[in-house]
Amino acid sequence: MKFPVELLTTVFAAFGLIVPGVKNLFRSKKQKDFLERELLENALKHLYDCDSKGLTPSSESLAGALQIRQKVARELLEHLEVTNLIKYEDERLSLTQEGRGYALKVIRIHRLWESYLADKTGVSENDWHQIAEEREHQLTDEEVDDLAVKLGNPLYDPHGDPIPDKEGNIPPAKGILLRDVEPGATVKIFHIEDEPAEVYEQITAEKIYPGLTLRIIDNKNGKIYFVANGEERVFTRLLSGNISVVPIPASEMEPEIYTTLDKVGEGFECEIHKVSKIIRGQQRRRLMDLGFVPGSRVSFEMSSASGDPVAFRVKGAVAALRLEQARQIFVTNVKKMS
Amino acid sequence: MNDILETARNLRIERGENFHDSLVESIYSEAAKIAKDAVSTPDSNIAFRLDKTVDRLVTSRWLGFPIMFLLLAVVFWITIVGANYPSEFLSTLLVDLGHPWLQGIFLSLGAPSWLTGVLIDGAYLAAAWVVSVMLPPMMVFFPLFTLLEDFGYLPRVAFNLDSIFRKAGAHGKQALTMSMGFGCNAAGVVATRIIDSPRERLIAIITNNFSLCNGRWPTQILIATIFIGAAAPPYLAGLVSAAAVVFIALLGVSLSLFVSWGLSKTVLKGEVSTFSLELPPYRPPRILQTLYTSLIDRTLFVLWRAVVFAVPAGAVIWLISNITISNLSLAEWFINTVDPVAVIFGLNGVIFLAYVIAIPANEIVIPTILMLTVLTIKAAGAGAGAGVLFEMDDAQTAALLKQGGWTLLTGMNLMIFSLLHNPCSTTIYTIYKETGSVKWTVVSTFLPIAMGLIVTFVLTTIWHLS
Repeated sequence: MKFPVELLTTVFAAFGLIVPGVKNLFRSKKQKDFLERELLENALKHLYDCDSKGLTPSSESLAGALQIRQKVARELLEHLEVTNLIKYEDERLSLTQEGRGYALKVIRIHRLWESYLADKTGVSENDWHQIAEEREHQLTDEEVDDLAVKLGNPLYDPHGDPIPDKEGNIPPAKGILLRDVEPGATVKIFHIEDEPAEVYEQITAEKIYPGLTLRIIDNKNGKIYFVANGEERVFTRLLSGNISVVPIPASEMEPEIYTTLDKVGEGFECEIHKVSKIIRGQQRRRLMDLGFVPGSRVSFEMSSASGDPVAFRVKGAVAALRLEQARQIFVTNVKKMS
Repeated sequence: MNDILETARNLRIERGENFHDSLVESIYSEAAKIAKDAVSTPDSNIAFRLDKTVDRLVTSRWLGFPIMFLLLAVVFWITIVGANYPSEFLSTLLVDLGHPWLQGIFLSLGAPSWLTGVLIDGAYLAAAWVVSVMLPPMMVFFPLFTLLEDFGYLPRVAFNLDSIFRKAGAHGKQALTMSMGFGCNAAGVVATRIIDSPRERLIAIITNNFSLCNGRWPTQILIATIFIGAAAPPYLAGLVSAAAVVFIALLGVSLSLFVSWGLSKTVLKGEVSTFSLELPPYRPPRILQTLYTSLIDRTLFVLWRAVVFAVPAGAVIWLISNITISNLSLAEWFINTVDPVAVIFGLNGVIFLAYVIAIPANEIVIPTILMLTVLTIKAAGAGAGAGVLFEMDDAQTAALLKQGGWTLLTGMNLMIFSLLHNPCSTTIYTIYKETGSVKWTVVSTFLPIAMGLIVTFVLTTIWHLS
């Protein structure tokens, strides 16, 4: 029965696509200018990327990264040189001061937009990068600054990448790669690389996200064994190489015994340890409003006729949560009620 | 100065990314600790235990759903039965007596007949009709519904039904706005304010029209009786027509869930989605306050909007039936033009025109259809004149419609189209007010029409093939 479901989804999707589709038919000159802006900015991003990794960019690497023809790439570089965004020193290509500033601005928009998508919309994490790739070429300077203020001038994007500020200062990137961590250590995920998208999707599918605490059990034969959210996992070098971690401060150590709120049943009460970082933005604030904050004592109240959602008594009031939400709330001190 | 900024920046970086979060969390935790020390709560009183017992009952695996259906059925039954008497009274007062009386006044003042036509036969009659058929059911339904809400039962319904709505990407509280929609879609749309998640609220607004509202039940019952019931053996007629109406209502509920699912998977994918549901303790309903708020906030609010739209629509109905071009009224020109198209959907030009001009309220669709049918087939002796709405008993209605070329297929298609067409103008305007978006108003208006046309087209094609 999978086919009809997909067919119906397609029909609905088609309905949603008609409107933008019609818009595309009327591509104007403005839109063509915009495509040129996109090309130019992507070129600067590539050059900046090479620079920060210590690689030497060339017209070949540029053509490869942007998937354009060699000839176009060479023309693009000429254009960048004429407009004083790049320079050649001893045949070596590098960004000028302005070029670097411009590249940082584009990166700033990209990462701010990802933060926006994570906090203010319900867009799935696997789509963040692609949407931000498009939006980064569209915002004006004022819009970017407004956005930054609205988000509370975040320092890092939801993947843990540093966001350059208005002047181009970059908060330091922290951490070491997960694959290099010694057994026995307890670490916190700081950054998850969102490219390539296939690897990123594998990581998010495992419900691994920045802010999560990991206890490393073993690291051998190209595999790393660790405990996350009370479950044991095994990651390959490919996955663990895309995750950066920082050693954890003693104050944030996980308690030895904890479980999730959905496992607290009839006649039991518990204390909230923390709400997982996977619950973001409005959803997180809503839970806090209801009283689901660290330290609150929560007791099981009743289960609905179908078993999900489940109601809990918190701070004297009764609030219902869906099991998928309860699963993201970590609790300790589970006790039988007297 | 720059040094200070630099230091601040570094401190912020040192403090870590989730500074805001930890701040809020610690404030809450502190407050909780203080409250725990300072406040003592007696929690073993009788009211508390009674609450628990009632909750056990209404959310139990076996009794939860039957109790819910029973209570809602009782509410609808009281509404239908209880609304009859005031409705008849208002109809006598405003239509049977008020209409001729006003006509008399205009005549004695020597007003030209077209003025009497537009103002009295058109505008006044449509408004009077809307008031007399719309007001009584709302006056009964809204207070009953508000009482259940006030008592604390409705949040438990949302609690029980959430699992079904979750699968459709919607919020459990949509069950409440949907039930409210059975009373009136405009009130249902306003009621979506209880859903605090933007995406789920939009879904509830767009799909509210799939709840068969008060204005459409009489149409469904009438058509089911004279076409579907009549096609069954006499001893089964009542049962079959009732089953047909229930089927349409359930079709509405399933389409509501299906469209919710479709919207949440596609166009509304990126909207913020949250879930939370507070279950307040039970308390005795405040009867007087309930009566007052449900009358002012819901009944009069909706009725006023309906009347505002009914007045110009009534004038239009009268005008298009009376302005003639080469011996045919505008209405007939329109009907004759769209008839060939309407036949493809197993409907007819009269129905199409009726749904366009009776947009202020579903309640006046049937009177409009009757008036237009008399107009087009030039039935002698029937009706009250061009552009004047009227009603007849079931047998006369059946005879007139059959004279107008209606078949069992037309009846079935009308029932489907009555469920799946644009919301009434009051609801459309309310959707615009609530969403503040032209885009979502247009979607909520045309999506059901498109679905209605598709379903009637498919049904008609299959009917003609077999």
